[in-house]
Amino acid sequence: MNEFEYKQLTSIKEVCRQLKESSRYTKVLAGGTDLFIQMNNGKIQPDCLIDIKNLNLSYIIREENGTTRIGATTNLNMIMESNVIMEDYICLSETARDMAAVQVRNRATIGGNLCNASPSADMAPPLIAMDAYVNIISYDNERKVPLSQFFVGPGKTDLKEGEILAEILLPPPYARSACVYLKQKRNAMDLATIGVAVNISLDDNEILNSVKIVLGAVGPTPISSIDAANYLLGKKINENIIKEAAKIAAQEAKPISDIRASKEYRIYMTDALVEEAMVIVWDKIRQR
Amino acid sequence: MKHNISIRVNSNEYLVEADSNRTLLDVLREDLKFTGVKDGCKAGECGACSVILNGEIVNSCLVLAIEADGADILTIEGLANGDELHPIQKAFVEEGAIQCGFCTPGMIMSAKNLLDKTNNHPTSEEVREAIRGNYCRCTGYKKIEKAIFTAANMLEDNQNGRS
Repeated sequence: MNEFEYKQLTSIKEVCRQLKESSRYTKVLAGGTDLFIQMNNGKIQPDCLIDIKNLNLSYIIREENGTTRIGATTNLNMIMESNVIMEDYICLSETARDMAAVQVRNRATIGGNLCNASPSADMAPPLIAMDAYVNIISYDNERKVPLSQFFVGPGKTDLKEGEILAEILLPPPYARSACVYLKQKRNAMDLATIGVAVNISLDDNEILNSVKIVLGAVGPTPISSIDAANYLLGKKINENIIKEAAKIAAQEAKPISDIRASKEYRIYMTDALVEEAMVIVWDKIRQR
Repeated sequence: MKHNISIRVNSNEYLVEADSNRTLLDVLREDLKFTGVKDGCKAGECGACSVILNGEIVNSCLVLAIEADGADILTIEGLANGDELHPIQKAFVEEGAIQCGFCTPGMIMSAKNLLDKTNNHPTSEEVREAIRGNYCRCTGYKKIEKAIFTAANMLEDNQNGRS
C-alpha cells in the first residue's frame, strides 16, 4: 500500500468539505475490505484516507411509518443479525449471510458495497427490488436518489465530488409479498457470477400486483428487468408465466464473458435463476 | 505519516509507532512478534490472519494498525494458559485436524469466535459457516469440523465442572 495521510473525522459536513476542497486524492474509508485490496494491488493510490466509522452512521432503525433507515457504515454482520431486517426484509439478511465470510462481514459495510459499485455487488439487487433509496449528503445539500438510479457504470455511482452516501432507506414491504436474492458463484468466498433478486406481491386473487426483478453481475450495473416485470403485472401467477418471464428477463441481461463465466452461461443462468426465484417467492407467500 | 498506537494484545498493553499504511497483521507479526498470526493472501480471502478484535473476528490484513488504536486483540498466542493448551487446541491435536499447520491458528480463532457466540452449542451449519473464510489446502476440512465439535463438548464439560 502506498503511503497516505490517515484521519478520522466526526462531522459528516467536515468530511464532505474536505472531499470537495482537498487538492489531494482523498478517499473515504469505511470497512476497507474493497479499498485495501485495491490499494494493495496499486489500482488506486490515495494521498489521504478519511475514516468515517466515527460519524454515527452504523444503525438500523425502523421508523413509526414503517420505513427502515440503515446507516451507510452498518457492517454486513449487523445486517445479517438484525431483528428489524429479519422481520421485514429477511432477503437482505440472507443476502448478507451469503457474502464472503464472517471475518469480512465484521468490517465490510453496506454503504461500501454500494459505493464500490461492482457490477456484482450483492446488496444492490435485493435493495433495488425492495425499492430502496439512498440519502446523499454534501456540505450544503442533501438529496435522495432511488437506488435503481444510483449506479451509472462499473465502479461508478451518481455521487458527485464532495458527496457521501449516508443512509439507505427502505419502504415498508407490501402485504402478501416476498423477496429473494439468488447468487450463483463458484465457491464459498466468491463474488456473484450471476445474481437475481425477485420481489413480488399478490392480491387475494393471486394476481401479481407488484413485481420487481433485478439482475446483478450480468451488466455494467444492476439491471432492472422491466420487460419481464411488466409482462407479469396484472396476471394471475402460474408456472407458465413464470417460465415466460424468466425467458424475457434473460434477454434483458447484458453480460460479458470473463474469468468467472461466459456470456452464454450467464444468459442461460439468468433464465434459470429468475424462474427459480419466482417459484421461491410464490412459495413463501403461499406458506403464510 | 507515523502514528503512536496503543493496543492491547492477549491482555497486555503495547505502544507501537507505525505508518498509516501498515496493517494490523504487519504490526502484530513484525513489531510485536506474534508470528502465530499468518500472512496468507493480504486480501481477506484465506483467513490465516484471523484475530479477534474487540470481540469480533476479522482479517487483520484488512485492518490498518491505526484503526486498531485502543483496541483489544486476541491472537492464537493468547489461548494457551502457559503450557496448558486451550481445549480448542487440544481438540485439534486429538482429532488430527492439523497437517502443515499454516491454517490452524486462523481456524482455531474462528472456532473460538463461533463457540463463544453460540455458547458452545453450534449446529453443523454454523460450524461450516464459521470456517467459510478459512482456507485449508491439506486436510479437506472434515477433521477440522469434527475438532470444533469435540472442542464444544470439552468446553461444555468444563463449564459444567466435569472433566
